[in-house]
Amino acid sequence: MSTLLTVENLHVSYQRAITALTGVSLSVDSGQIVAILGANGAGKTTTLRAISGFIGLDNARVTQGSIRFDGTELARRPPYQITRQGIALVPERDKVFPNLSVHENLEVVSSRSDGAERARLQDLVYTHFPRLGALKKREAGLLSGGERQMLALGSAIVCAPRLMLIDELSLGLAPVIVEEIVEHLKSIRTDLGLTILLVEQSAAVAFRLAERAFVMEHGGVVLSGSSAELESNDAVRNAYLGTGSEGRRSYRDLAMARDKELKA
Amino acid sequence: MQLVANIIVLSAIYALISCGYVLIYRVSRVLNLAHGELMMVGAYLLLMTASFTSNPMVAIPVAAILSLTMGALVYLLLMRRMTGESVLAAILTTIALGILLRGLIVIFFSAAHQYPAVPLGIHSSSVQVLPGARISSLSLILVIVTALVYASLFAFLRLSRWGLRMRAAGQNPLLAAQRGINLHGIYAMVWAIAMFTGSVAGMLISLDAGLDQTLIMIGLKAFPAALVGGLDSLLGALIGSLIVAAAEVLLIQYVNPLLADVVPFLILIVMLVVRPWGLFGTREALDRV
Ligand SMILES: Nc1ncnc2c1ncn2[C@@H]1O[C@H](COP(=O)(O)OP(=O)(O)OP(=O)(O)O)[C@@H](O)[C@H]1O
Ligand SMILES: [Mg+2]
Repeated sequence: MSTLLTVENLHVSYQRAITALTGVSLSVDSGQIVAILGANGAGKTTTLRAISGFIGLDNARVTQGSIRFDGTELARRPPYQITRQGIALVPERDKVFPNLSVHENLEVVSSRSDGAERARLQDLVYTHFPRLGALKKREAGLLSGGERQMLALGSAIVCAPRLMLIDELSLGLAPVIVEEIVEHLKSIRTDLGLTILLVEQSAAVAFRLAERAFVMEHGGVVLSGSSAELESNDAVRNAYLGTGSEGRRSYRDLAMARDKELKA
Repeated sequence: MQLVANIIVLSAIYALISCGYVLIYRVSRVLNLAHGELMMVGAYLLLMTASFTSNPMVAIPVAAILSLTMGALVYLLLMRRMTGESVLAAILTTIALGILLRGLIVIFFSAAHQYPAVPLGIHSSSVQVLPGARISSLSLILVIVTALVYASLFAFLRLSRWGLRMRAAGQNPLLAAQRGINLHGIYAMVWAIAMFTGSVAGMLISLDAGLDQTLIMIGLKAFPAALVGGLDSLLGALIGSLIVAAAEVLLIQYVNPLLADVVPFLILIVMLVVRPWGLFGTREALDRV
């Protein structure tokens, strides 16, 4: 399997002062679903946003490091070029255009794909999320959280991506909706041959969906491995699944656990 | 009847100018306070092309295309550097640009009152539009042009792919960029359209009434019209123009002609106190001014 995305030693700062990432390295093989776990403020969102491209709007900068996608260097490119290379982001907040209708949201793309391809992808979205089909004319700002997440996933899919970045897939959604979305996401992935990198607070959801996972803390990656390995890792169980024998421990322990492993 | 005709002509003038304020604000959240000057520059561009050719069918389109180009250049060379800076910085930049343009116009074209209609051989005649109401033929053309411009803007924003992208960029620029839209291209386009519509207004007014720096005043008076309607609504600009024009014409007629330049700003102040987001604007839109 070939590597689709390689992030190496990525440093990002906000407003030239706040350092959010201090040397993140991770890689994603093509065709995989990969999850990023980590505490609030660990830098998960920043990592995804750096990959999909910053824009001058909130003064964030990649100060060091590289992001290679399918052999092309992406760091410091504007976001619209990155989308056209085949990376689509489902952001954490403000993920739809509130005053456009559902269908218009699925029309606002400017990608490599032509009109016929776009229509095919829109059909695919409506088949997998029939609820959106019923709400075509509704303003996106009036949708419920779950519908909004489906629309956000749908409009990323219409960009014809090879790599899809999803920030907080299950945040604020009822378990049944998460279940539904996860199932559809899996089958869309197979249909389109997508690679997915997602940030997920719920380790249970992440391990069920993803083949590999990275654990982030304080702006860096502290642990990585296949979902099965991480799921059986004691420190991860303690921190994320709440099932360890010693009760919940701090996230910092993850780093110690890894160091212990390395020494052993 | 004559009053009604006057109100319609004046509101068409304000509407043709104020859509430029609305377009730029709606798409990039920048208040372009140089719009009056850019409109005047458009009129001087016509004066310039008229010195090369006496055929209005050449001079006017060439000047219009030049103004379209210049609008895009204003964005690409100047305003583009303001993305990511505070909105206040962007507004101050437009004010500085306005002052600079005034100075340049005096240097290149002198401050004298000039008539672009003369070299083009255009004579305005008076036409009967309503029973008992006459307006100049150029005013009639201006009303028709305004109607055409608004109809095409509505169609463009509602139906075309680029219009959809503009609306999207206005709502969430970052997300629009992440959907593959080149924001600089969109913004350059909107500045070009705004300068184009403003310049057409400036040209038509100066063909009728001649041209000097007082044209800026008309551009400034169209700003209250845009704000009364709600800065991010085209329909609002249309209705705001009607309100401001009606108030102005009626007060001039029945109270005091000297009020002409005061009325729009009086309405502006009342509006800012009572309903700052305008008649049709979105309430949160104004937070970002
Ligand atoms: N726009 C911003 N301006 C300044 N600092 C920011 C900005 N966005 C994030 N940060 C800072 O960068 C760090 C990483 O934030 P980030 O949003 O990437 O974390 P996260 O892992 O996604 O957290 P969460 O789980 O809460 O979403 C935090 O310390 C945060 O305060
Ligand atoms: Mg986050």
